[in-house]
Amino acid sequence: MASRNFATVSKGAKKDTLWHTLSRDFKINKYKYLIIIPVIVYLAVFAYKPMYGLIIAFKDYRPALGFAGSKWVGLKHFKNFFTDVYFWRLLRNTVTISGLNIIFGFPAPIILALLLNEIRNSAFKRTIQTITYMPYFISIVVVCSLVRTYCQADGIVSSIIVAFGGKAQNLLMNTKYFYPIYIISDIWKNIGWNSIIYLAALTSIDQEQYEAAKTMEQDGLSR
Amino acid sequence: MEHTGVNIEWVFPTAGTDGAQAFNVMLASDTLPDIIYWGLMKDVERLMEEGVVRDLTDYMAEYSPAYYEFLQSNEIYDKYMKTDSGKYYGYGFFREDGGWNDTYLGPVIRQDWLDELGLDTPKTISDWDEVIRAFNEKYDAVLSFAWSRFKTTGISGAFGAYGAIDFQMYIDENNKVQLAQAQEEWKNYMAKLNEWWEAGLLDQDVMTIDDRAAQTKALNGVMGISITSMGQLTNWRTDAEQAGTGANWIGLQYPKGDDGTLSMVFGGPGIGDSASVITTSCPAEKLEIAMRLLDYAYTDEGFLYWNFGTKGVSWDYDENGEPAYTELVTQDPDGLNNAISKYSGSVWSGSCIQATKLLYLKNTEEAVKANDLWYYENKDVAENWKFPTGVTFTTDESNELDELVSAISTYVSEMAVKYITGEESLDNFDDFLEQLDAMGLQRVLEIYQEAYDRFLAR
Repeated sequence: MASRNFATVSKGAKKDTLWHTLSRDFKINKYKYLIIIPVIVYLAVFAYKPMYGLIIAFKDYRPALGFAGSKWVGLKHFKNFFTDVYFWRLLRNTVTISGLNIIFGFPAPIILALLLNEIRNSAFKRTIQTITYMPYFISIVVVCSLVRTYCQADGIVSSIIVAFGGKAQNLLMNTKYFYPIYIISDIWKNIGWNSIIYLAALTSIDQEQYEAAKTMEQDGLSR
Repeated sequence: MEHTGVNIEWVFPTAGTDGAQAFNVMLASDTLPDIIYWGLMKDVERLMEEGVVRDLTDYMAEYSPAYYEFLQSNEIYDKYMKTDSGKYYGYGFFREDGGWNDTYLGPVIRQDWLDELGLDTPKTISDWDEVIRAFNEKYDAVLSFAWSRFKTTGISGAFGAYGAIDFQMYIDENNKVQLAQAQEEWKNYMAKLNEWWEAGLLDQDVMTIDDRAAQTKALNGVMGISITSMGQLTNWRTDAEQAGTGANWIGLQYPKGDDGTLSMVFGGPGIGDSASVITTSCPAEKLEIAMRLLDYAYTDEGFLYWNFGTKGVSWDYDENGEPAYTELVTQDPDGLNNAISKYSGSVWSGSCIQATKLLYLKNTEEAVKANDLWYYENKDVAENWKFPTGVTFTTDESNELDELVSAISTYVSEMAVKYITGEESLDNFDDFLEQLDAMGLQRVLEIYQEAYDRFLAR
């Protein structure tokens, strides 16, 4: 259903400028514009105005002197950062963790939503949903504490590994394991919550689409 | 505060917020509180330049007589609480007994295991080696501790070293500032730890556990010898009692080298790094009141009030004429420490003099005995090595240090861990030293040295 809220250009419009289009639109949709104003103010004050603070990247910022009063130092901080002994490691770690998060962390809730969507037994479905999105409400501080305890040499994960014949070790001591521990605990915490949005989208797909797809499939097979 | 007749409005950040951040946010706002108590002593030059902290030199003798007298009575105290140019600015935290409680952590051991095995109390590193191996054989136990309790010192003194994992500056016999981790002795310390690590005698979890986890390990008999604080020792003893394990944790003397070396133990001179300062937001008319108020803590009457609370309510004199807490405090369901802090201001630190009696009352007998053991025997090495908290850096020095120190301290801590776990061999120690120089260690030492010399000259 095409939106009938856009201002239609009436025949013989003399000046078809943006200003005219806008002012015509404003007259028709005045209240919608008014409702948007608080949001725009909010964004302007809390999202755009603070960007002014970015200038401290070029200053020796001292809280007592404020943004305006602090001394200009040009690119000094940037030079320090890029020539720091640890710069490449920082860059590599940040890019890798972000990359892995995208590769594994992004599809995970989508896959979960797809799986949940297929479940017919609603009691089972609801139980799974509750279990998967409970970790989201556990404070991140508690989760970190849990991860540290579980990864100890006498922790639960090591015990499982030993049961399978491996060696007990403190997992956080091994630099290779940091990425998996970080990604997995992140997914565990957020997968349920993030899947809610995807699940909502899936359940709103018209049933007709499914049936149409099935019909097309059958046609294809029977042919 | 009824005693002084002054109305105080207390402002503090909510629990759990980062103190440093809260302080910076406060500085960035337009009005500051009249008085701030914070660990700002080393930055105070800069803060005075920026017009945040008031210079109190002209009024100190007149408006704060008790405090002034206190500072004049002890040259060291006086040096700490002045800037390099001789200006007075703040009211600091002092322990009554000097450095005694600054040595609040040290080695502990299970006496019951020692008795069972018929071993003597370990005194040297060789003794420690023997005891650890014996514990390991008989009880499958390891040497373990909460990482935070180990990072600054551990048992470095036995090797002639002055630090463990954290970047640590110290003063050597020639009054020169040195980096603990750049010394040959530290290399030997790391070698010994590595030996224990490879033999499985040092707990693999050591670098990731905190006090809580260490407490659990103590309860489960995973370790028989450790390094911890007075308060934690009390917890372990309580746990053992409640669970009926028969464990008898007591304080243990800091080990000496086999040749008797003991270069340092964890400690300090009993002067804090925090002070109460009066800000420029405090109007001139209120200055006298503010200074007299802060001075109160250092008078005899104020001393009792700050440490014990209101006479007749939270404390009273006992049979020996010594102050003791009333039942209101000792029976408080929130626990003794919390109860004391409801009535007194000096439980952990404050701009006052902390009474030794308070510490005796706050801790169990065993904990106090442990502290005595850690401190009194080693008095001469507990304080003098420490780079004083009263040293201030100029703005330029601070800026330079900000750039250099963070990389060096990360590098030092990382390499320390690698040496212990054996990931990096100690044969490459010279490369380590070269890398430190390349990162600017000499310049850092120069800056620290200059600041220290200025401090001595005050």
